[in-house]
Parts: sequence; C-alpha cells; structure tokens
Amino acid sequence: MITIDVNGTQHQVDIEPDTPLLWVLRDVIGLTGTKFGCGIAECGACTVHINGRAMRSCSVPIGVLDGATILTIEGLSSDASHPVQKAWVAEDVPQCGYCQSGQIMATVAFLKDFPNPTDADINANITNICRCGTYERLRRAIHRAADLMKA
Amino acid sequence: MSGHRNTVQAGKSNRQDAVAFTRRHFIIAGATAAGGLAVGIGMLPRAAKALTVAAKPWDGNASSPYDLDAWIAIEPDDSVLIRYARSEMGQGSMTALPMIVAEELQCDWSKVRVEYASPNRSVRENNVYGDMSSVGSHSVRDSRIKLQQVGASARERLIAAAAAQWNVPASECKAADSVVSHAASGRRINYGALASAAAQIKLAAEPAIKAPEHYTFIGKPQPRVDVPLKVNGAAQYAIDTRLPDMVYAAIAQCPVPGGTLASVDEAPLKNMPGIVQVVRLKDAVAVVATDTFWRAKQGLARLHPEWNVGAAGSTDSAQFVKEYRDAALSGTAAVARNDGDVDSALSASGAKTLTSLYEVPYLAHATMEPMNATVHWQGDRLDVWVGTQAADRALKVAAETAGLKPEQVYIHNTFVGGGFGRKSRNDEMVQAIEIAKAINRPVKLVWTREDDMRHDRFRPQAAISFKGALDANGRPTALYIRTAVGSILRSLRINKVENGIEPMAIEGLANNPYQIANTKVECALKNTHIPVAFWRSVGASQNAFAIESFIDEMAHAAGRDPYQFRRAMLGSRPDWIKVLDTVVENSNWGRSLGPGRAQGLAIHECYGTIVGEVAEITISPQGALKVDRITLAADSGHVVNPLGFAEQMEGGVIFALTAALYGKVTVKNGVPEQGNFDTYPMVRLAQAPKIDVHFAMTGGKKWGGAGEPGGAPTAAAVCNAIFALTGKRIRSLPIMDHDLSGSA
Amino acid sequence: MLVKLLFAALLILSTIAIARADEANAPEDPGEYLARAGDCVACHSVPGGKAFAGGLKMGTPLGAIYSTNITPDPETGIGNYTLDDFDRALRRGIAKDGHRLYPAMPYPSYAKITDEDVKALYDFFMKDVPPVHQENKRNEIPPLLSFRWPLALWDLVFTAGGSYVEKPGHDKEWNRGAYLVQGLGHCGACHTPRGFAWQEKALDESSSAYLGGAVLDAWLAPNLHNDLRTGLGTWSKDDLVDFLKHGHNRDGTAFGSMIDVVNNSTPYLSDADINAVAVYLKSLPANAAQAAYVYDDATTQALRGGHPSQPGAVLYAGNCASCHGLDGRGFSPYMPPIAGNPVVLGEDPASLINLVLNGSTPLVVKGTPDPYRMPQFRLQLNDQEIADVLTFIRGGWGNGASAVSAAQVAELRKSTDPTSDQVVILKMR
Ligand code: FES
Ligand code: FES
Repeated sequence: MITIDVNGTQHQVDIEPDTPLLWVLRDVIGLTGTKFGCGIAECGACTVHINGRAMRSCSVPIGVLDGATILTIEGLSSDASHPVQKAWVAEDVPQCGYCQSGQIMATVAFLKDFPNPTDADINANITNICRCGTYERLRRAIHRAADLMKA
Repeated sequence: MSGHRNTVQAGKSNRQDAVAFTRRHFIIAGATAAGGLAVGIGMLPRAAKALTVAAKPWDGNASSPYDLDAWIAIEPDDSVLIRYARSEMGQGSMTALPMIVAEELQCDWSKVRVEYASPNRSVRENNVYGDMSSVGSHSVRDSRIKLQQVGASARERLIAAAAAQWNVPASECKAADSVVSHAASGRRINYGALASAAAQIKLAAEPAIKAPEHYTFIGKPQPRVDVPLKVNGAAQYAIDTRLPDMVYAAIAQCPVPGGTLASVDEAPLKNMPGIVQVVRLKDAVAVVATDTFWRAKQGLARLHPEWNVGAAGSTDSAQFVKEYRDAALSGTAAVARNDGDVDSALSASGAKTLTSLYEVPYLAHATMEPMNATVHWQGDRLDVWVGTQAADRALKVAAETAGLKPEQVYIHNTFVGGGFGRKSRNDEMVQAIEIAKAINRPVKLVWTREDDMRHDRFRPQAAISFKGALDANGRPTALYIRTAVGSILRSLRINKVENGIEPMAIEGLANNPYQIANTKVECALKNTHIPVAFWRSVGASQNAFAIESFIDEMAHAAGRDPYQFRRAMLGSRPDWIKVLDTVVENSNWGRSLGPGRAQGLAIHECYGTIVGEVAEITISPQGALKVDRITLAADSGHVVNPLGFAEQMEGGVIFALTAALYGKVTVKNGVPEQGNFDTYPMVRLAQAPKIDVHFAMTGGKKWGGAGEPGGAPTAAAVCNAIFALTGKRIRSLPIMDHDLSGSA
Repeated sequence: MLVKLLFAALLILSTIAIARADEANAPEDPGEYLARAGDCVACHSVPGGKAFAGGLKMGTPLGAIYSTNITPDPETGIGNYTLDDFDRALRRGIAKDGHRLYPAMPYPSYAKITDEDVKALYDFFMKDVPPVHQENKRNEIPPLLSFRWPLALWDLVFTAGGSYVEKPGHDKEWNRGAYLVQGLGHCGACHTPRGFAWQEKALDESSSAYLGGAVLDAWLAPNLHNDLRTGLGTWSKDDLVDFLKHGHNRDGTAFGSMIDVVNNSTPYLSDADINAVAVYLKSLPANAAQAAYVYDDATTQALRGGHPSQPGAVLYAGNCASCHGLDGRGFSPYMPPIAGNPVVLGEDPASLINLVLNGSTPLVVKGTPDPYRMPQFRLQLNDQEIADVLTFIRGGWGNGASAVSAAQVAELRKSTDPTSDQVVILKMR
C-alpha cells in the first residue's frame, strides 16, 4: 500500500509497484487532466509536480513514491487564477490543448528556478512537445507569466 | 463527470463523481452527452459577465424546451446555446462557426455557449446538421452560408415574436445585443423572454444573409472559446472518458499492415490478477483488464502473438524508394494537364534545360492524443466516446460494426487531441466496438504511442520528377512534372480512381498558376501495403516542397532573383502577387544577413488559401541548421477569426517544419520502424522559429481554409534558404538525412 | 575498434514469431536448461526467424560471419551429428566435416562443459528442437583470411582444453558458480579483454584479466571484479542475484548485449545456480585499490538553482532528469541511478555513449517486457551535446570520471545502429 498526497488529498494506492504514476492519477484517482502522450518521458504531456519538481509521470513508478506530494493541473488553482494559467488565456495558447496541462505544469516549476527567463533558458528547459505547434504563443505566455508573477 | 460532458461550471472538478453515478443516471446523462459538450463564452476569465445558465442538452428523444431549432437554444436568462456540428481538434472552428451564427443572430457574444451537435439527432431529424466532418480545412468555407442562414432565421423569428407581442410591424423592430427593440415606442425585450414564442414561428421566407462588407463581428479577433477549459485540465478528450464498471483494453495489431492474426497463446496470462479476457480480432489481439490501462498493457506485453504477414513481410523502404523513383522516371502515367508542347520546348535549340527528382517518405500524423475510444454496448443501443473528425461518418461506421440502426447509435464527440487527418477514419472505434461486443462491458481502448505511430494511415511516399526549360533570356518556356505517389482514395477504398488521376496527388502541381506556355503534368498512382490517407495539407505536403524547390532551381538557372522570377510568371493572379509582395516586404527580402545565414522563399495555394513564406536560417560550421524566423503572408479571401487564423498559420508552419527537418517513417520487413518521439522527433521550443503572420486578404468570392495551408510552403522555403546559403539543393526530405557540415 | 555487430544484430525490429513467454512452470528438461544457461539461442537465431536456425550476422576482426543452423535438420542443420560430432563442435570447435569453427563460437569456454552436460545438450537439440530446413549463409571473411587452417594453430595456443575440474579449497557452491561462469555461461566472451589474435586473455580467475571488463560491439562490458568504483565492489551477493534474475537491481540495469543474456538466459536459471554464480563473482578480488564512491550533493544543488554553469547540466535537466532525477539517483530499480553507478564511473565511456545515442532494447524477464526503456537521442542531440551531457554526468555527484569528447561520440554514431523498442523473444522449441 502506497500513500501519496495528490492536490492536498491523501490517497492509499494498492497496485503493482511498477505502475507509472500517470495511470494511477488517471485511472485510479480519476484525475484526467494529466495526459498520456508517449509513455517514455519524451513529450511531457504527463508532467506533474512531485515534491515540488516537474516530473514526467509516465516514467515514475508508483512504487518509489510512498509519502510523496503530488500536484496536478487540477490542483494548480481552484479557478484558473494561477499566473501561468492567466498568461495562457491571455495569449490564447492552446489549440487542441492536449499537451497544455503538461506545458503549464512544466512552466510553473521552471519559473521557480528561472524567475527572469531568457529565450535560451526556455528552450533548454521546456522540452515538452506540442504537436499543434503553439510554440510562438507558448513562449510569449511564459514571459508574460514571469511578469505576472513579479507583479 | 464521466467524460461525456465538458462544462465550465465554476471550475470545480466533478469528474470524480463518476462512480457515484448510477447506471441509469449515466445512461440518461450519456444520452444528453451527445450534445453535452458545452463551452460558455461568458465564463472566460477575461469576460466581465459570468454565465450562470445550465444548458439543457438535447436528450435524444425530444428537443429542449428552449430550442429555437436544432442549432440554437435560448434560455430565459438570455444565454444562447449554439450547437457546433464539426470537431474541435485545435483548429478553432468551435469559435469561428458560432461567430458566424452570432454575426446574424445579433446576440451578445458573452452570453453564447457552444456545445457539440448530436450526430444521432441529425440522423433522427432528417440530416439536420448535414456534413459534420472537419477535414480539408473546410469547416468555415462549407458551413458559412448555412450558419449565417441559421442565425438570420433565428433573429427574424425573435423579431417576429416581439412584433407580435407588441402588435407592431416586424419591419419597425430591430435586434441587437440580444435585445429586440422598437424605436418608435422605445420598447425593448430580451431574447430570453422571446425564445419560446419565437420557437413557434415559421417564417414565410428565409431572410437574406449579410454580404461580407456588412459584417460587424466576423473578422474581429476573438479569443478561442475552448481555451479556458484547456488551462485547468477540465477539457474532456475521448481518452478521459470514465464510465461505471468500465474496463480497459490494450491491443496488439499485426505489425505488417494487411496481415492477420495466426495464433496467440493465452497461457502467460493465467493467474494474472485483473485480466478480464483476451479478445481475438481478425488482425489484432486485445487484452482487457480492470482498474488501469496499464494493467491491460502489461498483460498484453506477455502475449506474443504469431501473425500471417504474407509477401508484404519482406518489403522495405529501399525497395519502395526505387519503385517510386522508377515510376516517376519511366513507364506510363496519366496526363493531368497538357498545355502547348512540352517535348518540343524542352528540345528547342538554345533552350537551357534542367531535370530534377524530388522524394519524400511516409509520414505519421502523431496526434498528441493517441487513438482511443470508449464504448458502451447494450445490445440495442451503442454509446461511443471518440475523438473524431467526422462524427456523422463515425456513427454510420459504428452502426454497421455493431449491426444496429443508425438511430440506436450515440457518438459522443469530445475535444480531439489533434486530428491532422488521422481521426477522420476511426479504426480504433471499430476495434473498441468489437471488443465491447465480445466482453459485454463498457470498455476503453487506448493505443500506445507505438501503436498509434506504426498503425497509422500514413502520408504517402512519393517521387516527383521535373524537367524545365529556359530561353536565352532566362524566361521559362517549359515545365514538365510527373508525380509517382500513393493513392489515398484507393487505400481508403473510397474510389478506384479509374482514370489514374487523383485530385490530391496533383494538387498544387496541375493547377499551379505559373504562366509557362508549355506545361505538362502527369500522375502515376502506386500503392504499397502501407495504408495511406489524408495528412495535414495532403498533396501540398509533398507537392509544394517539390514544385517550389524546382521553381527556385529554375530561377537560379535563369540568374534571376527567386521573387522576381516568380512574380513575372503570375500575371493572371493578382492574389498570388499580393501575397508574394506582402511576404517580401515584411521579411526584408534580399537583405544580407551576414555569414552563415540566408533566406529562402516559397509560395503555395492549398484549400483555397495562398500562403507565401520567407524562411531565415542559420547553419553552423558543424552543419547544424536552425530556422530562425518564418515570415508568412496569407490570402484566404476573408477570415472569420483573425486570431484563430494566425494561430493556424503558426501551427501549420511548425507541423510542416517537423516533417521537413525530421519526418520519416521507414519500413523494414514490412513493418513501419519508427514508434515514438525518440525515433520520430518533433520540433520543440528550441527549434521553433519566430513566426510573423501577415494578412494579404483579397476578399471577393474567395473563402479559403486555415487549418492546413500554413505549412504548405515551409519545407521549400527552408530548403531554398539552404541552397542560397550553401549551394546545396535538398531534393529529398527529411533534411536531417543531409550532411550540411562545412557547406555554409 | 574492429569488433562490431557481434550480438547486436539481434536488435532488429520485429515481433513476428516471437515467443512463448512464461516457461517458469514448464517441466524441466536438463538439456533445455543447459541451452538456456549457454544462451545458445541468442546467437543461433535471427529475430523473426526460427530458433536455432542460425543466420545471425556477427562481426569479427576478420569480417562478418554468420551463425549456423543447429536444429536437427539432416541437410542444413546438425541432424546427422552423432554425440561425438556434436561434442567436437561444442568443445573443440570442429564441425562434422572437419572444418574449424571461428572462435565467435565460444568453444574455449564450452570446453569446460562436463561430458554429462554435453550429452544432455545433445539430447535436447536432437529431440526437442524442431528441425528447420535453412541453408547456412556464407561468411564474409576476405579470401586471403578465409583459410581455416590457422585456426588449428589458434586452438593450440589459446584453448586450455579439458572439462572443468573442481577447485579444492572452494566449496561446492563456488565451484558450481565457476563452472557456469567459465563454461556454459561464457561470461568471459564479453567481459574478458581480448588479445592480439582476438583470444580472450584469460579463461579463469587465475588471471586478473579474467572478467576484467572489455569493450566489444561498442559496449563496455564492465569489470566484474570487486573494484570499488569501476567494478562490482559495492554490490552485495544479493544485488548480483537480483540483477541476474531481473536484469536490474538498486544500482543498475542491464544494457547492450547483456539484455539478450537476461532475455534468454539468466532469469531461467535455478535460484541455486544464480546464487552460485553470485558467490563465484563475489570471490573475484579487486584489481585496483579504489576509494569507494561518495555521493556529492553539490551537483544536485547546482541543478536546482537554475543556471548551472556547464552546458551539459542544462541538457541533463531538459532531457534526462525526469527519469534519472536532478539528484542523479534515478528510480531504482526501474531507472538506474547515475550517481555512483559503476558503468558511469568506468574508464571507457563507450556504453554510456551508446546508450544515449541508441537507447536500449527492452528487457524481457521470462516473457514480460520491462515497463520502462531508455529512449534514443541519436536524432535529437548532436555529437557535441551528447559529449557535453555525458561529461556532466561523469563528472557530477562525485562520479569523478573523465570527460567525453565529441569525436568519441561521432565515432560511435557511425559504427552503431539504433536499438529497437520492439520486443524480440526467441522461442526455444
Ligand atoms: S506521456 Fe509522459 S512524457 Fe510523454
Ligand atoms: S495544443 Fe495540441 S499538442 Fe499542444
């Protein structure tokens, strides 16, 4: 039995320890905002925060997470008021939207380490794939979110 | 809730209530879900007014009490529900189409909510929604007149209802901002108060619709209505569907397309907890498990099915390359266009001639949301949650697969996590229905990324050969093109293409607007066992690369600037010239960029929209190519939502750039090799150029598409820039297969 | 490095005609068990082909050769072999027609197999393996070198001869382990460095070279001695058991050719035999006095602060950290740690370069593929970037290993092929 805290709620999970966190979140707990895109830590659609760090949940086995604190897109804010979410809306970023939970979670963590990001910082650290190609607006939104967070 | 509803109710996540649902409750809600994806524009954080209405989606047996008609419902508090009969997969038509309705309806946009129209209702109500597909960048073009009419009729009925109530002539009443007013008496009444009376009114004649010059709303940039749902995890995709008692299926399909299942030994699953059943299909085997998809996938991994693969099992890409090359260079082909006398022009004395062969590989769609479908089969009723680009067609196919009448089938369209042409064929849905029938429980089938990539219906492989001639003054006198390419229509069994000419195979080639007196275009269709289908921009995805590179070759041979060279051949097409001029003006064309940098130009028309692009690139001494900037100009005639249009141009460029730089699906032993994003890489932020979109709209009768044209010229623009910088002509994609080191 | 391709060709993409998965409960056939222990199937089959029908291409310093059909087909296989013929081929490298086998067939190791086990193997191949009619492929050794007679000389010089004889002073378990490792297991074929004539430099623990680590097929097969940093000094016997049974343990994961060994061989051994192998390996003394690895948190801190100075650190954060952790500790046993991992600490970075370039093929333990695999970065990172990220990894967290150059990456990029993510399991009968 593994205990994890997801968005402030404790969950006891009894499942094969090699199961990736992604499927525990989606299928067991029912939080489907975190998406499955590749299963090999390449695309970032499944990005959540584990103990405050952005991680690709498709490649984190639940067996190593006993006691971990997890934040998913659903827990980021109750009303889409997180500065990164606001910036996303203001820049009209999402197209199909499927990658965007992951993009947002990656950005939230990134801005903690890089409060004044350069484009080079963004390029090197936000490596999530967006198949719809929203990068132009994504980049603008990351800068806007950084500004909002300072305000 | 359980995947069947996208609402914006105050941001609270109620998906976890799924288990609390009784089945009966679910079925009722599920039925409504056919039209249950509702997006409230009024709920946008940036909009001042909050929307509180809960739309009553159509319940499958009766119309909503607030329905004006199948398209529009207006509730007493004025909220306007517009039903959207296409598929939102990121291309923005869920915003653009209601904008068209609102233009005529004269309603307050902040009170508009949008929900998916029900394909089942369309079946029951005499095909009321018509074609529900989102393909070929046609949603706006092919819905506009109808949706203007829908909005105008509703408006006139609301006016008629008010006029009747006030007992004044309708002609004295005006509708604006969701209010009907009578100037003479100063009376005003909200739409909400008129709706039930308006619903009873039949107009003697349909009102006229606005001509584009009278638009007041269309053409004004609007934020997309679906964006707020896509920043907090609330947007529901098919893969997010959760039903009571639902089980999960993973599937192994014959690795060689067209092969069949020979045998599979189930013994390894004995004693494995949670395994429900192994289901054998003709060309696949599925494992169904409880609790998580992961469990099904891990169960499946233990099975090692044997397949009948036939002769296709010994084919490979080298062989295909040769076959397409041969077909492009020799043998016979159907003639799609023949102006003048190409042969004599090519052999005329004094003519300078060029020949080239361009080649492109198979490409996968790789939508971000892998193929998946959830099916609830109840004997006399079938509910399917699937991301589809054609919900009406999905319904027909589902009915056939299940052996039901169309009115017994409910397709619950969801947000689609990328389509690009892949999701107009719902192979996953057919499988899921077969599995559901075998196990008699609600089941969610998910394809892994590897399944999705290897069992795609690919963009066809092609070889395109060119011959060109220039006279002594460098003026083009002949252009000969032959494309050898897979037939999409044959592969999809839509059409045998008996005359040998497939429209998408020759699009952009046969109808190229360059005035070259002797022009001949030929088409050689040739299929392998690899299934092919529509892939964002379809024929343009290879043809634009080929023809715009060859035109660049001709310009170079003529010693002319590529812009001037093209412009001189476009006398009959002021719209093309406007696009060219606009992109050139905004890109500082011709300016020196310094060492290691260069520009390239290309232009193409795709789905009625002309797009010109200038690519600016840098190549390092080690040969690393970076596309720094794409300047783009587009003419679609008119545009409904300029913001959404620009986003589609940007997205199209990135999609095409991924293909140009990395896109390649190769075949070995009959099996597509690439399976995931490590072997089929994508452009990410680090490779994404700056993209500047400029409008060069020419209005008139033209309504071009938005979803696909943006990427058409990208590969050629980049390759032409590579040539300008290095003198190296890229004649096959992807670019990553070419060594650019030491050439800059 | 001329030796390429040996074993590597197994990694071709295909799931056709793959396998019976769970043989745990199958009735034990002693010959089949030994064939498992010898991992015969890995070399004598091609993916998608029939088991033991041969045809696998292997690089040798002389040129490519193909493994042969060892099914009991009378015309193309070994159906006409008597026990004696079989024995001569297995233990002495001489085929029935008298021609000498190339030493890609590890007969110097197999020479140690007991008579009894040879007989059991013979019975298995003759009775249980289905005959497959498949002609052997001609080897691609250049004509000048293709005379096989020098091999007789080779054999004279480099094979010890004689079955394994129990060593006094060691218990039964140790001796059983030594027999398996030196004989059927032929661990030395990869883990022992080879000399000027491609011979293994040593065939048992009497020499420090034996299992001292070697580069083969662009993989570094690590040193199996008890060296503290670059050997298995920090692994307990239980760690070794874990590794052989599951392909990974708290400290590392099988990669390269070892994946074939895990997929087809070691997990099928009995607990007693796995234990014996571990006992034997743990008895190999350290070859060098090395200070034990000590974890250094500074690297983690630098990564967490943003803007770490080394270029490789940024690449690590963007491409590697999600699985291997900003702390370099991975999620063992699923994703191996980078901090203190003997393979990372090894002198030769070949395996690391190979893994980053080409990723890894999935481990398949008794028919069940490992849920996680290393993706390839061949198409996503250039030579300099891979060199940077590996230099960072080898220098970080107190690893203290040498830098990697872009030239080293470039060389391996040319000489290696990407691995496939598709699972290939060979059915043995
Ligand atoms: S699904 Fe986890 S990174 Fe793609
Ligand atoms: S918005 Fe569709 S994948 Fe990013």
